[in-house]
Amino acid sequence: MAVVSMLRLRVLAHDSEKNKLMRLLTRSGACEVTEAELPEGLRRLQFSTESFDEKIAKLEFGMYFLKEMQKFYVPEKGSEFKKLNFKRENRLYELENYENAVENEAEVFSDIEAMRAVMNRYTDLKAEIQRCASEKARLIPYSGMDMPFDAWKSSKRAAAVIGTVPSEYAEALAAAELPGYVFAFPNGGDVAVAAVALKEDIGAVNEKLAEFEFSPAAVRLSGTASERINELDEIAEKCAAERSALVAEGMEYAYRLEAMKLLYDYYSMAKERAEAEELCSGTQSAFLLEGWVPKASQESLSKELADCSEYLIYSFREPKEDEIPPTKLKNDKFTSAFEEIVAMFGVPGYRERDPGIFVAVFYFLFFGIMISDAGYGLILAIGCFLYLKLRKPVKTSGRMIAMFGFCGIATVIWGALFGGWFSITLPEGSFLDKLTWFNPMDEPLKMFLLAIAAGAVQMAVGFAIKGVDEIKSGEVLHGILSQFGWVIIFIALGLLYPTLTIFLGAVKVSETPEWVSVMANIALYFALIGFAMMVIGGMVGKRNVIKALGGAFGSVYGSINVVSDLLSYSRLFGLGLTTGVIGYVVNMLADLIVNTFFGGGWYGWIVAVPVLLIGHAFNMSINLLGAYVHDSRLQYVEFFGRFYEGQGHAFKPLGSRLKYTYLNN
Amino acid sequence: MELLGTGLALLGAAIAVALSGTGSAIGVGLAGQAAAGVVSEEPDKFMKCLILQLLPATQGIYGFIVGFLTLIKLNAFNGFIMDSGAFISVSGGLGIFFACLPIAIGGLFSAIHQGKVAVAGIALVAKRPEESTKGVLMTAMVETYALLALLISILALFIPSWS
Repeated sequence: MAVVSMLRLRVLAHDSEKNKLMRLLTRSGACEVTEAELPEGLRRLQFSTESFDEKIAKLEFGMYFLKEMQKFYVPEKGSEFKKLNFKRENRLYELENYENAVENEAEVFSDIEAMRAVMNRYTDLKAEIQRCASEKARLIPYSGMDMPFDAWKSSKRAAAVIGTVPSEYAEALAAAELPGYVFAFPNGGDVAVAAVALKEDIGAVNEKLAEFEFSPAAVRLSGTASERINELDEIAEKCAAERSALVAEGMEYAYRLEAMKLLYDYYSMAKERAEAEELCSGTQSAFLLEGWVPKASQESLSKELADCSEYLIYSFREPKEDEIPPTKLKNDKFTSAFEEIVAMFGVPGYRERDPGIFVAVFYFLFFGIMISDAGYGLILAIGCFLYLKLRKPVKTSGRMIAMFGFCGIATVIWGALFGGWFSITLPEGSFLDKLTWFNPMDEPLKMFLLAIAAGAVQMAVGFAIKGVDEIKSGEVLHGILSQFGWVIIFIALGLLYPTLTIFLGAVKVSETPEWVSVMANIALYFALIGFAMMVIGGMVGKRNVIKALGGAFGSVYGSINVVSDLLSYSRLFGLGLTTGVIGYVVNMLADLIVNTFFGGGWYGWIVAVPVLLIGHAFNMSINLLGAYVHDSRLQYVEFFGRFYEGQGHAFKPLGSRLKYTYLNN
Repeated sequence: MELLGTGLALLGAAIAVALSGTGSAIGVGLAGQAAAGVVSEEPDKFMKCLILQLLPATQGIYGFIVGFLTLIKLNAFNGFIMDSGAFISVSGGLGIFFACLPIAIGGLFSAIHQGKVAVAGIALVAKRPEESTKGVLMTAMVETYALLALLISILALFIPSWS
């Protein structure tokens, strides 16, 4: 459980064995290579990864090419064309699969060259089609002018201009007095205008035209505009036809996609390996490799190393005090589903406690309170677990899905307690109604207190963990006083809970029962003891009176933080209520449509059902997002703030830097 | 004059919905512009940007909830007649009006600022898509204050027995 113990592996081998060794370590997936010792006389090895980068860039182009081709690809009717998968392949590959791909890489790379040629032509065609479209757009206003542009040329004494004016000026222009002849060719949009005048008048004509926002033609053609437009259409059509042929040709390379993915990841691994080798130290003919290996893999790895070659020796040893091994987590199925939440904050340091199980339990519970609708919970749980069942995501790629599946279960439980089933008002006395504890919409105060109580439990656990850790690490007094002081204050708060509910009116009673006031009295003493412990805890270990007072003041001041963190849990209340209210509104809308607009007829449901579906889908998705984000925040700020640092670095064994495939190791 | 109380309460509901909705519209709008810019370069980042864009949308929903709860409290769907058999009193209406203010004002400003953080988060997605969740969390921090406002609005609406 929790953080896996690591051992330091040292291998000394002859250079000729390097390939074998690296291959073995990659396949085992159990060794993170770190900087090896550098005794005098040895040197670090240098590698160039340029050739790998070059190949990776080519493969990237290949995949980009197929993506671009697929955009314009129209599969023949009846042919079974499946969309290409540019994401990570959901299956495990053996190391041999990659090596086979490398053996045949020459063909793949020559195909990539061919793709480049296709791409060049494709880009030309794309540009040509675009050019035709923009020229056509410029010519459209002139399409009503059934004379060639060239017809408007200047002669010895007369001058001509052509251009366009916005359509709203067309009438004004026709009515205007100009020292020449103006011809307009209306065609829907901007109006094409030609003006002819004596040379000496043309300046005045231009000036007059400018008042109507006249813009001179940017094109000169020997034929008419519509002739040219037809011509352009033909060119564009031809280009589009050529492009579809080209795309069909390009798509023939689709079968290379898997090989490209394998090669891409092979060269990523090769780069990773080269970087690992740079961490080794070596002589002319031998090298020393060091790295971290999980204890559980020691046995299998030693066997493999012994079988690998007789020209290598290896040893394992425990990590030293000042060494910081990487963190690898190992947990049961439930906890590991929530590991992503911890990992996002930062994995625990090697010698730190893994908060996994606590995070898992609280995340699970809080998520349910935030969504608080059993119907949504059912959909979420069934959807996620069905996905896992059908898709069978390899390695840890299905972790988040599993987490949401579990959260769905929590939502069903809380939803049933709150009587939330798609926000439908449950019939009195029905089975689901009997399951209901209370409805947050009717008793918001109770819900508020529940949220704070849930927060108090989590924070008390946080303080307790910190206390145990401090006691273990030798700070016994501080651990007991400062941390468990808070735990006692939270217990006092728990004892005060019945009094609070009655005082705030969350529970209505005619007369306060005696046990409640007894508990409140006990709570008062507990709170005082806890507070005193906390204040004294602040003074522990301070050398003089002033510093001790300062420490005590710090403790008291710090309690403001604790209170504000506790109130932060009220978001459980807010988000929980939100789901119910929006769902209720959606239902009311549907009810309004059926009964008011359509007078209760069955056809009202034709409109109402889509409203219900879309409304609830919207409600569910926005609340899922909210619950995910705010639940994470509660763990990070309010819970981790008490005890957790998360400064470790995650275990990254050789062969883990993959993007498109999964290596079976 | 007997409807003055009802009118005040409705005014509260109106500004709760309108102001927080305005804030969300501004926030989502800001984030949307940034998101569109990123997506125009890299369409694959659409989902990540969309999530960030959506975060400032919640204030509008909170305002809507308070508005809606006010309508329920006023028994708006059955002629505004309270349990006491009359319309709500002026003091009751004024009380509800003030109960609506926290989410109206808090929602307005927090949504705008959350939108600005979302814009920064989207810039983060553009540069380092693998860190997008951290951007989402930072953006969600702003929402705390909208949630607190919502909390007080709801409690102030429900706890006193306005009549």
